[in-house]
Amino acid sequence: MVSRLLSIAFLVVVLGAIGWVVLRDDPSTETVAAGDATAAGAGSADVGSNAIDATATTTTTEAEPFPEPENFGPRRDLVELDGWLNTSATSLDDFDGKVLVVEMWTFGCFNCKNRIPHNQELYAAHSRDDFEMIGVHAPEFSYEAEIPNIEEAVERLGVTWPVALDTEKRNFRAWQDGGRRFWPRTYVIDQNGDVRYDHIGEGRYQELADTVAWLIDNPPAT
Amino acid sequence: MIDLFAEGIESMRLPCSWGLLILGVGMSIFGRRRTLAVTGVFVAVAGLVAFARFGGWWFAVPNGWTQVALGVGLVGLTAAAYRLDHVISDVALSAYASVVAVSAWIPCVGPHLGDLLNSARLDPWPHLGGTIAFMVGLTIPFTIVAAVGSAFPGLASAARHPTVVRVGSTLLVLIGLLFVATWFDDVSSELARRSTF
Repeated sequence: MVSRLLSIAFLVVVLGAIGWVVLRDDPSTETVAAGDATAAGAGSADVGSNAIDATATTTTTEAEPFPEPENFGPRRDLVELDGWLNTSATSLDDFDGKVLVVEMWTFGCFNCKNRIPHNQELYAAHSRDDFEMIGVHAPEFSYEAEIPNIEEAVERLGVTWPVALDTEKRNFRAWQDGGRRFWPRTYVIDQNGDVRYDHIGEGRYQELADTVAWLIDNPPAT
Repeated sequence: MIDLFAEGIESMRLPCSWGLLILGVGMSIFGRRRTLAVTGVFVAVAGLVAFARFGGWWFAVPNGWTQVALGVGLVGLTAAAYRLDHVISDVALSAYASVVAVSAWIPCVGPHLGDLLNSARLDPWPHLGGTIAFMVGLTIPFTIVAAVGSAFPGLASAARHPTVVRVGSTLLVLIGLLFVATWFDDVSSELARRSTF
């Protein structure tokens, strides 16, 4: 009898918690339609941005300047790729001297797709800067490894930046050594080829934008 | 923590979680009169293995022969638990199925789990509770089924019907065979391709 009552109480608590989760308005789980960059703006206080101003070093607060991004050391190369889309480049070295956003993604990944509108906004904001965005497409499932499917998805999702085809996931694994490998994962590389930002998953879009803006405004000494 | 719980619930509907959930469904159906214990062990082990993965201590994502070995183990343990019909064998099968499920699982990394993963690489221990909250959210249907079974014994007796137990064990054996044939990824891929997410 006691266990029955406890189970009923447990059910009430769990169903109440689920109801609360469903009914609450959590802006950080809000998503925008891929391809609709103008709608981007979802996010909690540390996540969202309504507009990315390429000329501003920081858009979150004027009181505190954005701190210098940590240096995680030299980037790896992209090797043994199956080709590139949206570019005539053949190597990551072709983008040397620019601030690079390198994102490990795959077109079927829900959370990767949620990043795309924010990436579109960032890409548009820095179209005139020494900046490039590179998507490293590493398939999670086998249908995502077929190049015609990737080409169709890149078109459909509005991915206009260069995409490196890492069909065998060699670079996906090499860049994320240590066994903690996730989609999406976003890196920022500075003009010297050093990794200055490393983020797993969705969110932190303003932090990414601020890091890019800081590096463009404060290029490291060569 | 409630955000991670919510994100776990949200992850349930995404293809990346289906491999894990299908094993949970098999265990939940197979649970017989021990649904509460079996489900509790499944969720607890899932939380611990996920924590080990997020903390960087668990490197093995099964492929090739490791998948075959995991599949053989799943088929063997299911057959043994079916025949023995004992709490220890059922709980052992649940723990094993949970290890298989979480080791083959690729998490959907939303904003809250992303924050957890980014912080956990520096110091995993403060994130044990968050990981468990996420996994409890992800596996909430099984917990509810178990609690319903415990709260309403009439329903539980229906779940103990031999046909229901056979369906659960068949599902587990089928998944085990998919692992043995290394077709589990292909089936997951096909399901993911057909999903609208």
